[in-house]
Amino acid sequence: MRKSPNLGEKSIREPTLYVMSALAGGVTHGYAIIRAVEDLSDGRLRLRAGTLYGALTRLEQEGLIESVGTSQERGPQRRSYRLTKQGRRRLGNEVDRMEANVVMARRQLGHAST
Amino acid sequence: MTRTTDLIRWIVLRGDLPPDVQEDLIEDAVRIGTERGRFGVLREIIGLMPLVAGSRRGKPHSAAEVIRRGLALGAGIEVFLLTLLVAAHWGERVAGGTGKTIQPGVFSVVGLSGLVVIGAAAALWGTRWSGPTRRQIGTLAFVVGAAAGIGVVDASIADAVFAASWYVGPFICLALTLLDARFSVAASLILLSRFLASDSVSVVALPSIASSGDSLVVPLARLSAMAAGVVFAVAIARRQLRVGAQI
Repeated sequence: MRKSPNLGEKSIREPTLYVMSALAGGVTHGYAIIRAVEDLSDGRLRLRAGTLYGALTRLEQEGLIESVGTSQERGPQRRSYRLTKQGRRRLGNEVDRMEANVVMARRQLGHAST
Repeated sequence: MTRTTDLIRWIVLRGDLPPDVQEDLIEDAVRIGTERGRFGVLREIIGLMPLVAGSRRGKPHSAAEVIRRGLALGAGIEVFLLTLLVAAHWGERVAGGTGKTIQPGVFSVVGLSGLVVIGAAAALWGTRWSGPTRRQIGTLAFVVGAAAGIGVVDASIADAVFAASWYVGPFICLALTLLDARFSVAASLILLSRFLASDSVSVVALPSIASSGDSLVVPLARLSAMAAGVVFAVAIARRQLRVGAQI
């Protein structure tokens, strides 16, 4: 049976969901996150650097992601990030919540698969 | 590209992100902006603004701070304009209603120069050695001094500055809201004062109703215009704050 989503948590906004999903794939730095989000959304979501780093700082303060030192990619050292356990759990809860909403909406529309 | 990088660096360093994050952000903003074509860099620069909106050191999440500073900014502009107006009228009266320019006596020249110098000194002193309240008082003193000086010494300049600020000021503020949420709050205050002070606004807003001569209609039209101004400014402020604070 499906675990019920945590009702006490605020829902995650779409760009944040994509950023966290990009980080769920492993340790990544800012530029790669922007590219990953663009790919994951089929080009629909094009994050600006200012928006991304504001979000990364906020997510780090909330303990949902953490900085894991620096890496080098074609240039100077860059800070990389990964999801924390709390972040992974939060992302999972959000996906469950969205899934439940989709099932409900499909059922209401009469398109639910049996 | 160097100048662009310098501009981006200048903006980013006004924010309060950790230093190594700032460096990554600068590099990525330039890189992403360049990759995204003609207006990419411009969009990146605009996207950086919310990071520094709200306070000198950049606290985009503090709505109260943005509103407080915006109100201070708007009040400062209003004080400047009103002082200019009063001083210009006083100057014309002293000149015997001859119109544009008074013949400044020794007293007024020394007095006004003194006021400007004291205001400037207070502003500098407040900026360098004291907290925000004193700095604001100093800035206000400077603004009042400058306005009084312009208004009394040359009423025609005062008239021109006043007229330009009165009609163009709100639109400049609204344009600046794209860059900084503080300006939306300042703009709302300035727009409100225009709506309150000007009979013509009801004519502009609701010509047919206003011309009916109904004494209740004009204040209502004014209130409607005020409400529209507030809603508009708050909407812009909220958008700026939302963009800056969270995604």
